[in-house]
Amino acid sequence: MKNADFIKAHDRVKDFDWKASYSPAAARYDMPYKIPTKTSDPFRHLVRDYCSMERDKDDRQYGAMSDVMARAKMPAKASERWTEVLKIALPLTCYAEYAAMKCTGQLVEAVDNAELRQGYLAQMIDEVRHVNQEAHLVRYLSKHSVDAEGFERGFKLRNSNFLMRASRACFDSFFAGNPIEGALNLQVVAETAYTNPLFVTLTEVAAANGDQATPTTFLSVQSDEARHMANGYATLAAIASVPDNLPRLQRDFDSAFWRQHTFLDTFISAVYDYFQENRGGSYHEAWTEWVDHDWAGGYIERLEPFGVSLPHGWAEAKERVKWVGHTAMMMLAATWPMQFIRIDPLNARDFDWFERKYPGWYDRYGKFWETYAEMSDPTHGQLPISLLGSVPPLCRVCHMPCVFPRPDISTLRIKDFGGRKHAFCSDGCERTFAFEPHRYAESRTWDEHFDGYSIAEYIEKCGLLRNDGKTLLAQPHLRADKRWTLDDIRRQQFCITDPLKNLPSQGAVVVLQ
Amino acid sequence: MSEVEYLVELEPGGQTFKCGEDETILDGALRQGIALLYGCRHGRCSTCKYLVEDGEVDVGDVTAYALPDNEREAGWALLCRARPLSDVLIRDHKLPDERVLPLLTPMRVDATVAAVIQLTPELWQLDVALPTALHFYAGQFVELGLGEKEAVLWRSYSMSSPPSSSHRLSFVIKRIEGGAFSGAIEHLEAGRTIAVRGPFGASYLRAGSRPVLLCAIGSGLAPILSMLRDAGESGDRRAFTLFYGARRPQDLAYLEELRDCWGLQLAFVPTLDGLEDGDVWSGATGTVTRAVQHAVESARDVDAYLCGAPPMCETVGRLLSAKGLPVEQLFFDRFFAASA
Repeated sequence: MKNADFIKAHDRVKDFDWKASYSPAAARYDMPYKIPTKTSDPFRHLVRDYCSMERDKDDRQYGAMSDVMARAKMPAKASERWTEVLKIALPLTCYAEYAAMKCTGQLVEAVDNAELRQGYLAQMIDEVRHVNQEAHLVRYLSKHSVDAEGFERGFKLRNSNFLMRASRACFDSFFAGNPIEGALNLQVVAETAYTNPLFVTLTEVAAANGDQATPTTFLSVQSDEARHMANGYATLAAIASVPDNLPRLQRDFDSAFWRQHTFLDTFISAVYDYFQENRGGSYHEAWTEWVDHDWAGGYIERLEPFGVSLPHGWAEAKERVKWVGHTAMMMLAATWPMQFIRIDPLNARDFDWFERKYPGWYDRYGKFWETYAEMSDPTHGQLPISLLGSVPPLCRVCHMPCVFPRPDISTLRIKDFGGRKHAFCSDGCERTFAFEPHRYAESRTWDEHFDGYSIAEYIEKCGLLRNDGKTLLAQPHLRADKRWTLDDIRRQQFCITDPLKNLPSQGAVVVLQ
Repeated sequence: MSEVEYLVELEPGGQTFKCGEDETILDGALRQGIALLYGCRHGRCSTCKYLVEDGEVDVGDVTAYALPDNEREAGWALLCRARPLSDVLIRDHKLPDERVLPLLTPMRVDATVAAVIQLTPELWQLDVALPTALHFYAGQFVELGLGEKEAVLWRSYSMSSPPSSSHRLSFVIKRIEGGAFSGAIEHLEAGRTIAVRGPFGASYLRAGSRPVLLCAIGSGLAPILSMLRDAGESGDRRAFTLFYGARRPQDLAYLEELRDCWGLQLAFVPTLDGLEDGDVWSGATGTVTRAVQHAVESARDVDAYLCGAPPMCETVGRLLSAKGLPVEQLFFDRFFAASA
């Protein structure tokens, strides 16, 4: 088919659009936005390359990976430190793709506009493919990597691992509200701001650390993202072109940004900065380029004349992003027995790198990591969670620990609503709650769920053990010896306690309309 | 005319023309009456970006923004800058515009300054008398040249006069302090020689039956005036809406004429976005973008013409596109300040 014919065929499909006169459309989703019936078509000029591009990618990806990489023993050559974090990062990304598929499915049904719908449909198919590609990558690594145990757990631990629960609070926003709110979370924020640092720059980190499989998958995924960003832009421009939409749009946009920021910046920066072995750039550098300059400075500023402003909390986020990854990683390492990956202690080279990339890092986090390394031997029998002065409560909205941006300048607040105490990690999360408290007030945090469990009971309950039935999946080092067992943990007598129970409330949430 | 000439062929139309090695492919085409799409003519707007499928060209002085490296490597060129180094084959991939009018071959004449009138604190009207008729379409521009021989300083300005006034052209010039051309506007004396070459530009008023949406800020009013005056003369029955943006009341030019509206069905919406204490104004406030955002429900069935600073044109273009305007119903020339 010639290029021009593809565009003509695409236009014909759009013409094949009608409203049923005999039966009014059922309102399946809550839809407070007005969408013009005709808008710009984000897919029109891209349709011609779509089919051939996708076919080539599938061939290249699956063929190359299964055959060549396994025979060349590539997974064994990858940095073990790096490979460990993929056990969390890949299932989590895969869930994000699944949530994206649900979002675009809702958009297809809810947005009565043939131009936009074509783009959503193609994106929905992309998301299905991404789920498959990333699940395949997990499968491949679980077959071929040096310490494969744990790769299959991420999918199962979506409810019982605190980080996985927080990721759901972030990714469920792709489909849990009205479809446009989903599009703002997914296309406008997550895809446009964060997929470049995730799929492009993180891919460079992977390759530099000997991981050839992840770049193959991620670069294939990323080549669809430009089209998804175009969907986001066309959706946002269509919404913003109707002035009645503007007040609600800004509010939902503010909330979408903060929900994505609280999890994605925290998580990606921890992955990025703490699991590199062969070190290159920092997450803060990648963030400055992609999120600050490109997204805020290019994409969003172009919409300012329409009346869409940078999200509320943008300036605060810019400051927070310097520290949130370090704080999150400290929480992850402090709670290592409850995780399902091995977390490598930092060495002298790492210490130098951190101090260079994040001046002031050592004074705030250095001592923790020195002690963490000392505690890695089970014969000493000490857990780094004892290093935290107090365990912070979890945020009712984002489900992350309320310890950000740094323990010494935490923006934790505790408020009453509906006869219950709620912790919020930040002003942004409290605002999101105050606009629509009913959406969050009944949710349970990980702390509330596992309150009263000993760590050993938690490990058994979640199945965080290796095939021998006694060695922990998680370890505070990468060594083959001196691995911690369930017995080592049982000696600790450490219990999970919901810290919120014992913290005083500072008043009631002021509900915003 | 240069001694070395190369053959330029356009695919898929099969048209051919000769182009000297010392002229740009666009100039060569226009000189011989071949219509190619173009805008700023200074290597910046990318309207004249075409794929050179065969042969060699010197892509010339273009910014990486207008022609990124990967496109350059893939064979794309801006024809307003590219010069042939061999016979070349150019792929014409642009969508045909069914309402395009026959190309008016650009000419060059020496004219004289007829009048200089201050309109507002910033805007001036310049009238130029020509010894021969210069035919153009309402909305097109010419280049005005001041200076001697090799040192002529060329600047693009749209006519505000209608095409019927073919011996006397009017322009609206925004005086830019220190501007090599516009900064000297108040010192131009009647009778002084001024070179004119043109016409250029593809965003002239198209025929049709759809309502016409016009947006202008600053001296961008000039081509709009030409269109409205022309439409008035020909008894155009279409509905016109003009959004005209300025900062303060005293910055609005030609108000009386616009309110008289030449017998046209014209909705005239001046809107101000820089009002200061003490300004008397009962009309619309805010930018043209905001006015269009609020007033235009659907842009699906209008022809839209945007004139003024590129950021306004880009933004309103995106807004109208989001309101359903098909790309073939949107017209604007991309002008940039001529400092570069």
